[in-house]
Amino acid sequence: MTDIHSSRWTMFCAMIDNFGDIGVCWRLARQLIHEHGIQVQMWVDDWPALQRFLSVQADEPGIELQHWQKDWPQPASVNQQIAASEVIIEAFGCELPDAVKAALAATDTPPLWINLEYLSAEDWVAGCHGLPSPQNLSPAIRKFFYFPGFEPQTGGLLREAGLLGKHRQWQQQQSSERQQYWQSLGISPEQLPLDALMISVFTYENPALSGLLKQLADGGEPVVCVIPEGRSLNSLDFLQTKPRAGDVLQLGSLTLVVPAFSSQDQYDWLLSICDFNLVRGEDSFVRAQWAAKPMLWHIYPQDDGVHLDKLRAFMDRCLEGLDPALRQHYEQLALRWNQGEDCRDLWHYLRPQLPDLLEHARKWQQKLAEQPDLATNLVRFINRPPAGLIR
Amino acid sequence: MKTAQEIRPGQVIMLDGSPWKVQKNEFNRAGRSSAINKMKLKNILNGMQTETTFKCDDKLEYIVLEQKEVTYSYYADPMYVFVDSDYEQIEISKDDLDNVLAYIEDGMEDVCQAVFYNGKVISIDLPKTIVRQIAYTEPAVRGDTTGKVTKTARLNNGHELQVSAFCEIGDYIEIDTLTGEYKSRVKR
Repeated sequence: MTDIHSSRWTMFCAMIDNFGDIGVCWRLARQLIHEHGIQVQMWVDDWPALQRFLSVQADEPGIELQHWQKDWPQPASVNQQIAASEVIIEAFGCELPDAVKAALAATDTPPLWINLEYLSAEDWVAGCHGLPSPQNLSPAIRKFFYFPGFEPQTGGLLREAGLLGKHRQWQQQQSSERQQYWQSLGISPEQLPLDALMISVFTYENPALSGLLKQLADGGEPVVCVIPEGRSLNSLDFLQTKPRAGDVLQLGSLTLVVPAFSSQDQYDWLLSICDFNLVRGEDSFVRAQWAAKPMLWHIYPQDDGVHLDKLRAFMDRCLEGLDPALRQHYEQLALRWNQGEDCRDLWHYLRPQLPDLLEHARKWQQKLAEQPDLATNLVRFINRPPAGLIR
Repeated sequence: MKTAQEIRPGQVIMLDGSPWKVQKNEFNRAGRSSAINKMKLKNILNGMQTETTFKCDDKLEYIVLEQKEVTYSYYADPMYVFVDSDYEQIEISKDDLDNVLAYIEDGMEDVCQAVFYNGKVISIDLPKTIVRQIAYTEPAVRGDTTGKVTKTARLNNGHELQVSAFCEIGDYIEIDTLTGEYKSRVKR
C-alpha cells in the first residue's frame, strides 16, 4: 500500500477552453494538499492563461507549478523525477509527453497513472470508472480511467471540506452579504432592494441570452444580473456596445453588473447569494450544485449533438422527485437554452416556481453530499487500486 | 498498429505480451476529449476475461489472423458447429460468438469467416450486411413511407431490433452486422 501521506503526485493539465480545466485541476490539487497531505507538482501548458488565472486566486504555495512546453525540452533528470512520483494524473485525456512515457517505462516501480476524465451523468460512466487501460509500454505500468460522477459507483464530485458550511453561512446572512456586494458596486439599498431577484450568468455564447435579459428588463420586477467577464458578454446583441469589467448598467427593471475576473472563492460566494445561476461546462456547473440554488446548465456544445444526451442524463438524475409539470417545463427550458432558442415563455412560467426549484436544489445538494468527494475517493483508489490487466 | 477506434469484436490485440480477443466494445464520448472504447477482452491463451478502457486514439498492436470461409451448420449444446468448403467441422463456443450470436439461425446461408489463432478458432465474422426475415412485428403504420419512424421487430431466432414502421411480418430486411442496425427492406 502506498503511504499516501508522504506522496508526491504529478498532474498534467492542458488548458483547452478558458479556465475550466485549470479550475478543476487547481481545486483538486488544493484539496490533495490541504486534506490529504500530498505534495503536488502541476504541469500547465498555457502559461499566460495560467498567470491570468493565478492573478485573482489566493496564494497556494503548496502547488509546484511548471510550464509544460510543447516540445518538452526537459532534461532526463526531470523525466526521471516525474517517473518517481507516486501518482501521475493526466487531466481530461491530455497526452503525456513521450519522454515522460519513456521514463515511466524505464523504471521498475512506475507511478499509478490516472486519466481523470470529464464529468458526465450518463449510465455508461459507472461501467468505465476505474477500468485499466494497458499502454504496452511496460507490464509494470498501470493506467486507469477515473470518472467523476453523480453515483456511488463513480469517482464522485470535487467538494472540499467545509464548503457546505460556507454556503449555509452565506445564505443565512444573504441580505447583509448582498448589501456588501451592492456597496462594492456603488449601489445603495434605496436604489435596489436587497430582495431583488439576483441572477449570475456564466455561459458560452448563447443567442437565447439577449431575449431573456430583455424580458427581465421589461418585466417590472427588480432584477440584478451579474455577468462576470467572459464569453457571455459576446451574446448581448441588444446592447449597442459590449459591456466591460466594472460596468453597472440600468436597463428598465434590470441592473446589469459586469464584475472583473474573480477568484474561485469569490465565484462560490456569488453563486451562494444569487437566486438563480446560469452556469456552464464542468467547474461552475458542479459548484452551482453545491450552492444549492436553482440553476440552468449550458453544457459544452459538441458537433454531433452528443451534449444533449449528456444534458438529458443529468436532468434524469437531478430532477427526480420534482413536480411533473414543473419538471417538464424545466426540461424544455434546459433543452431550448442549450439550442439557443427563445426561452421567454418558459421563464415566464418558471419564475414563480423558483421557491419550489430552490427546495429541490437543496434536496439534490444533500443527496450528492451523502457521497464521498472526488479527492477522497481518488486517494482511496490510489491506496487500493484494482488489479490491472488480469493476465 | 491500429487505433482503439478501429478495433472491433473478434479482433485480437497484444497487451503487455499476451494476445487478447475483443469480445465486445462500447464507444462513448466523455466531454470534449476523444471518444473512449470500453472493451471486454478474453485472453486467448488462458481464457481469462477482463474489461479495459482506451482513448480512441490510443495505438494498439493488432494481430492479423488466419481466416477461412465457413457456413453455419447446427448447434450442439454448448457448441456452435460451422463447416468449411471441405466439409470439415469447426466448433466454437457461445462465448466466442458474442458479437454475432444475435444473427445465428438455423438454415442461414451467409458465408462467414472463421478466425484462427495458433490453429484454434477464436471467432466467427459475419458479412458486413446480412438478410433476415421478420418473424413478428406490430402492424405497419399507414402513411409513413420515410423510414424515419421505427418500431420493434423480432427475427426468427428471437433477436429484436428497430425497423422502419412500414415493415411487416414475413418481410426480409438487411442488417448491418457491425452496428446491429436495420438498413432497409429487401425483396426476395
